[in-house]
Amino acid sequence: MSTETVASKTTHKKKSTPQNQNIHKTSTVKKKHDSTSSKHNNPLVKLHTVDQWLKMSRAQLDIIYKKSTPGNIPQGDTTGTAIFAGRSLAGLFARTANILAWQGKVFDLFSPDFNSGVVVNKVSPFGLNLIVAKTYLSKSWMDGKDTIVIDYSGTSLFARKIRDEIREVVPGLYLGKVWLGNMRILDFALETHKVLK
Amino acid sequence: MKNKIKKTDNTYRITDDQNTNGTTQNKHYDVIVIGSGFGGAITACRLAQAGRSVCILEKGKRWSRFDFPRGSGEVSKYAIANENKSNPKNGFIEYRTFKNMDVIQGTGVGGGSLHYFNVHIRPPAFIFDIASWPKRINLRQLCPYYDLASNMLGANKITHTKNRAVPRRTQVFEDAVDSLGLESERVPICVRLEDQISNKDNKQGCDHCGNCLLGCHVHAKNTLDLNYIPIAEEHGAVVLPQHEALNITPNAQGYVVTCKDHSLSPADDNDATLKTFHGHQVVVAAGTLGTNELLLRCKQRSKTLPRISSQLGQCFSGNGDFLLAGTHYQDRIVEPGRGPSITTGVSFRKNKDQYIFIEDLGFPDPFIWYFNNVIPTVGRFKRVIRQTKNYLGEVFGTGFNFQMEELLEAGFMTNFLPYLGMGTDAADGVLSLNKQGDIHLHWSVRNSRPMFQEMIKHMKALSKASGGRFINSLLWKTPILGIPLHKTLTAHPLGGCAMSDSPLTGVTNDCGEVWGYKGLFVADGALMPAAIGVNPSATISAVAERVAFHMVHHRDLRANDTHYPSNAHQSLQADELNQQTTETIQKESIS
Repeated sequence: MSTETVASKTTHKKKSTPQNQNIHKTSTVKKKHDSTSSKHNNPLVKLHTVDQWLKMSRAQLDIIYKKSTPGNIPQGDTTGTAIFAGRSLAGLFARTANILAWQGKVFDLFSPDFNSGVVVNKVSPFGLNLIVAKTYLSKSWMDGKDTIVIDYSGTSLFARKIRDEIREVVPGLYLGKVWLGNMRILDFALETHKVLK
Repeated sequence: MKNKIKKTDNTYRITDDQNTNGTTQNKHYDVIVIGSGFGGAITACRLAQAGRSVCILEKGKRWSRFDFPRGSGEVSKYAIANENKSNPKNGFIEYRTFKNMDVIQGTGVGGGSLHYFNVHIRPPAFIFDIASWPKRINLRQLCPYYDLASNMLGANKITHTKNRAVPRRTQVFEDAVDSLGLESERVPICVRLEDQISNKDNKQGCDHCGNCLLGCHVHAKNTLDLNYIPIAEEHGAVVLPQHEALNITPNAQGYVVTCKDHSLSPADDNDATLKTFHGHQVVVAAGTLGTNELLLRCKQRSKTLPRISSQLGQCFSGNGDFLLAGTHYQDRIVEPGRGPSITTGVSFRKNKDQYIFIEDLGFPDPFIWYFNNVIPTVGRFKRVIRQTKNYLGEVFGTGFNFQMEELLEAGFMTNFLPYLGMGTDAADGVLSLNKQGDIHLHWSVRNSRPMFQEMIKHMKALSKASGGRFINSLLWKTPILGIPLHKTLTAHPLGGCAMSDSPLTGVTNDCGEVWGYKGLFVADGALMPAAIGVNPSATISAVAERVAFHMVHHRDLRANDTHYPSNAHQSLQADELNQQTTETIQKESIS
């Protein structure tokens, strides 16, 4: 129930043509305004937190994912949390992974459309920007609907068999799925930063 | 809540509308201007005049002339912007301390103009010959923009007026320069020196109170909140005080600026004070430190602008500022607290790369009172004891006469002529973010030491030739024991986002547009790739005028340009038009 409501409030990027550009700009702005201003008043936002997701099973997370839309591709630095869904001590695993291995992703999108770009993963205790991927909007391997794909196939020898997908569940919070080849291996959360000092 | 969409020359605009509670947030504008100092106010005004919808985000408050502090207690509370994060920043002067240099800069609607010392002076042409300036920027090129800004800000040199003589300080400085065999020059200052009486309203001229640093309570000082900003507002620009920009994110429509609304009480949910504004273009003009801090955060922390040139933060210059030094005279009264705070100066040029300009400097009253009290004078303690005895003697009829004037003695500052020195320093400071994400300045005097030593030599020569004693800056050398500290204080921080011919040598092109980010502009002192050598506000204004003109017309302003920007308020234009129409009708009826 909650995910439906939240999903309906997230925005979905549409491709624009020169003919409808002005209208498109206005409508996108309006949508963004609505989603941003409604966030503070929306109690459902608090239901979707990384801590909540760490307690959920993979099936529950899949439901949330399927009911979400891609939203906007994140920009800049994000904080990542690996979710070992359904396992005991999932929180401990997540924290350990966060400290020792993967800490998030940095998105650098291409102008003028900002619907594709490159992603680097922050890896190691020092947050080094390693393992480059492409990001773009495409169809999900999970439900065939639109999603944000993070594709390592052409950019990384080390991770070329890995594919990530993310969807924006609430503004600024993304739920991600990871495949190794055809096998689902992991879930993860990404949080964008409105303000970073 | 209905947005009206208008199509202007090259862009679309959504006119601003307001929520039912009168606040404006999450709106889309043609241009978002961050900061309302010389860079921000000027670009906002010109862009609004050109029909763009403009929103100005200003970190500080809007100040009325009645708000400016005067008493010592008020100054301590309301002049200096409090650095304490838990306390809203009250003042309009930010004092930032770094290891080798302290920096003063303004905050509030009008930015640095609220507290600056009014000087609107053009540097000599050879300043722009320094290699770090872009090839297309030179004095001749900037002249129309200097003229435009000078006209708007009402820059004039001080003279005797009907009501006021030239301040003693000016005379003492000019005599000192004379005695050195050189010629001083009165500097143009943006101050209304005489009362202006018209049919519509009377404007008071400068009353020589000397409190320019603390804001002008008679509005004789032509600060930006009296000219550029109201004209921008007349053309629809929205000014949002107490909105501190925290992040800039590019998107398909332009940029999203996230800011914190300091006017809201800090709620439980910190997100409630965050607002987003969407702009087709963004002009960053948050003062040199503010602009660098914001862009460094976007490049290095949030990584929303990761491709800004690696030159960001480089080429910082304190404009060779040297404050707190001066000449103390044994007998000559200077009264540095009287008159506009800077009035005259003298230039020195040693070789083609070194230029030094020294001016007289006034301090506001509360500072004079403070220094007069803390600097000991000979016999002060004895006089207080003697007059206490006299007072009691007079009360109890013992025949002693109480002499109050002996208590109100002339303090050290009465006979002190402070100097402001500026010069072509090495512009080799580096601005970066510290661990807390705040701006930090790495600067060493090493490469600028020859210039500062030359400047001090000239100041000493002025003191000696005029029969005074040179007092060095207490930041440069301790008053007791003379330990060299070699620290300076600047009121003119420059650079960090230098204009350049290539992204390898600077952050923006010569029109202020950030390399690699179309529609993102810088328009303040951060653009200066080197020291100006004189007070830089005129040059910052001229460059900001140029940035704005290029944003609108994509070319340079010409002498008799058909698109020459207007400096008149709309109401005045209407009055003039009415008057012309009336005169025409009268002439026609007579004929």
